[in-house]
Amino acid sequence: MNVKHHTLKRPAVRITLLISGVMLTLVLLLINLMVGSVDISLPQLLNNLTGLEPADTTIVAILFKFRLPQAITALVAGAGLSVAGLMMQSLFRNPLADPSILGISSGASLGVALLILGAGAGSGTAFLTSGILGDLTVTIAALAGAILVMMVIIVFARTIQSHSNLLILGIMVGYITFSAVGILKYYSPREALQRFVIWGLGSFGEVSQSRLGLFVLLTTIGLAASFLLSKTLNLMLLGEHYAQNLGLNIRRARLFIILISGFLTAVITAYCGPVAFLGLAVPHLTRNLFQTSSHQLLLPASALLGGILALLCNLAARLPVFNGTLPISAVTALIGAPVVIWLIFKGNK
Amino acid sequence: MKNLFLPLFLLLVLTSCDRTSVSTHDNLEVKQEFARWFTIEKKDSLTLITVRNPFDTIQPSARLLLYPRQSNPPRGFEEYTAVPVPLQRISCTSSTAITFAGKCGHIDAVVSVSDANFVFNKTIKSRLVSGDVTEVAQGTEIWYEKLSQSAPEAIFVSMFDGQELDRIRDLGIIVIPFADYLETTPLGRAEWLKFMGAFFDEGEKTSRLFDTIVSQYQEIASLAKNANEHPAIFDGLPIEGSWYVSGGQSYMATMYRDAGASYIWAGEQGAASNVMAYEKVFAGAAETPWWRMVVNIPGTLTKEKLLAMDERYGLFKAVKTGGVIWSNAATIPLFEEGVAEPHLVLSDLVCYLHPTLLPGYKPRYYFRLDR
Repeated sequence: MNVKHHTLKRPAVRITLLISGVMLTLVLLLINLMVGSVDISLPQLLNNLTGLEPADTTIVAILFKFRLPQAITALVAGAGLSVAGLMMQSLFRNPLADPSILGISSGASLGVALLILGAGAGSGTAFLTSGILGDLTVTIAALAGAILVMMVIIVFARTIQSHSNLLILGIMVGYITFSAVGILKYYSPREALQRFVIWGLGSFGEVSQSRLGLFVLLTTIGLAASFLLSKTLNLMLLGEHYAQNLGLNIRRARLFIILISGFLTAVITAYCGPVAFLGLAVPHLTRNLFQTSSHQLLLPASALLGGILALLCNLAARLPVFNGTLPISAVTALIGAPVVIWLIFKGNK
Repeated sequence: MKNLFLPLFLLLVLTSCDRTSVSTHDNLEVKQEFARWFTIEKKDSLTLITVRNPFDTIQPSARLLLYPRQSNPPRGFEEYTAVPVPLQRISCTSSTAITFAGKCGHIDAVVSVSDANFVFNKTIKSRLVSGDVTEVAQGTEIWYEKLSQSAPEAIFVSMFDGQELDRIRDLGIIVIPFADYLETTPLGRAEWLKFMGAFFDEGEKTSRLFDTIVSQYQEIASLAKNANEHPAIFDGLPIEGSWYVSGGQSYMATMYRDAGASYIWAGEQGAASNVMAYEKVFAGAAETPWWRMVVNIPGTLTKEKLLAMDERYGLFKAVKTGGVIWSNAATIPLFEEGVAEPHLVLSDLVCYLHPTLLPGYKPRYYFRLDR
């Protein structure tokens, strides 16, 4: 990993970057409200948002029940995943680490697979519209699976000294859940499989207005908690021995990092399905743009950039040319990877 | 075409002395009005069946020669698969094939099925418990050893090509494509009854049965067609933000037209489902009075359960005014039985859309959601 000491050589540049980031977020939010399969013009949008003219109930519903919750979900999920990914990369000092590296999102997949695919085996029917509670059941199943895996990882983290061994254990847990999901898939009817595959590609559109509040609250708690760990994460970057010599309780610090990163990943995967790439790429983008390794800056900047990239992807996935809604994980890498490649080449010059 | 004549000519010369052989000319084509994916031709005691292949317009997916099982397989039909009829032991990998076998009066011939958990047929269910019928496939996986052990003469499958079918043929089992689902009209699907009937030598019985179905279906359709109003309808449920909307030439679009409803996406291309953004469906269907859906849940559908799936459903007029017509794939044999009873499925829809037309009618497959 490219470790640079935190210098405040370019504070003005950074502040400009942060401010323009916030502005860009607001602009993207507005564009996300304007663009979709149904044409809504800017005057129409403003009239309905401000309530100056008698509103068209269908347009109001599309704005407030469909587009706004989806845009906010994208913003919050993008921020959360990016921060979770940054924490994993700093903890393991590995540029390939991402929020799913410890198997937590595989745990969520297993929970959902048991619900969507496994229901058939036990009860004699597969409940494709996912049980009585619909999408809420999916969220609960995903959360349960993710938290279960997270607890296993935490037990490991308490006993295993070496970071790299912990990383390998996490990957192994991921493989085990992956296999279990594979077996469930093997025995599933086509319709259930289709639904599970679609869930596995992620979506920001599944968080309805009434569930949005809790989602935003939980993610904000996770983000706030992560900011409290910025100094710990700075020390972690120096390596275990240095950090220990500087008085850091490595095991406790590691536990907190895993707990908070895992919590963010679990919540976001539960509500949106596994969203690929953002958690891996945004930390790299942020380090490149802000030229720093200080987590006091990296954490909020990653959150901001993650939100922006997620809003961009959400916009691209919902362009009218695609007729429906493209799965979000198909879009994130398509848009994000070229940006990362470009930045690396630019940094190399 | 030219180079086809020589082999055909040779074939005729070589086989002309054989009494049991028949030329493929002047066969009697069995009258078929609705189904598009198979043809039946009769010649004396032989029946020639062709099943079209959706992926190949030139090469059919199967040419089958049905001959009386007490006689020897006729010669001169090299490109046909010989099938002795009536079949005595069959395997069904689609649940509709079970239904059609039952309608032919030959449910006893079914020795193995796939996806036992999803079968509704009572006879098959109890035989699965007693072990007289075995499960030989689940999902897309075929268990070849179990299939071989159940010893069917023929297997009715819903796919067209692939290694799986060759492996089944290697077991000495005749593969019969059963493609009722490709038909885009309710009567076209039901006409596969005749297809099944041919394999049990029940051609006359199934033709009579089908004619009854057709006349009942058309009677109800003409009642609905002459109704004063043709209320608007839409269908489906979104999966993760995308809605799969039946195309304008689809099975369901035909059903809505015959039920005297105006389908709001009738202009959508094709017979398959088209993906559409949730918000677009909402913009188009928010004020539509009728919404047909098939859920897959335990028990019955209530408004509470529907809104728990997605609170936005409550924004649709159909939900507000009690215009939701639902079926439940988990508890109601709509897909398994409905295919052979299109007149009843149609009546179900008509009794809600035009409440005065069928007084006292008790629906079987579709129910209406309480307001």
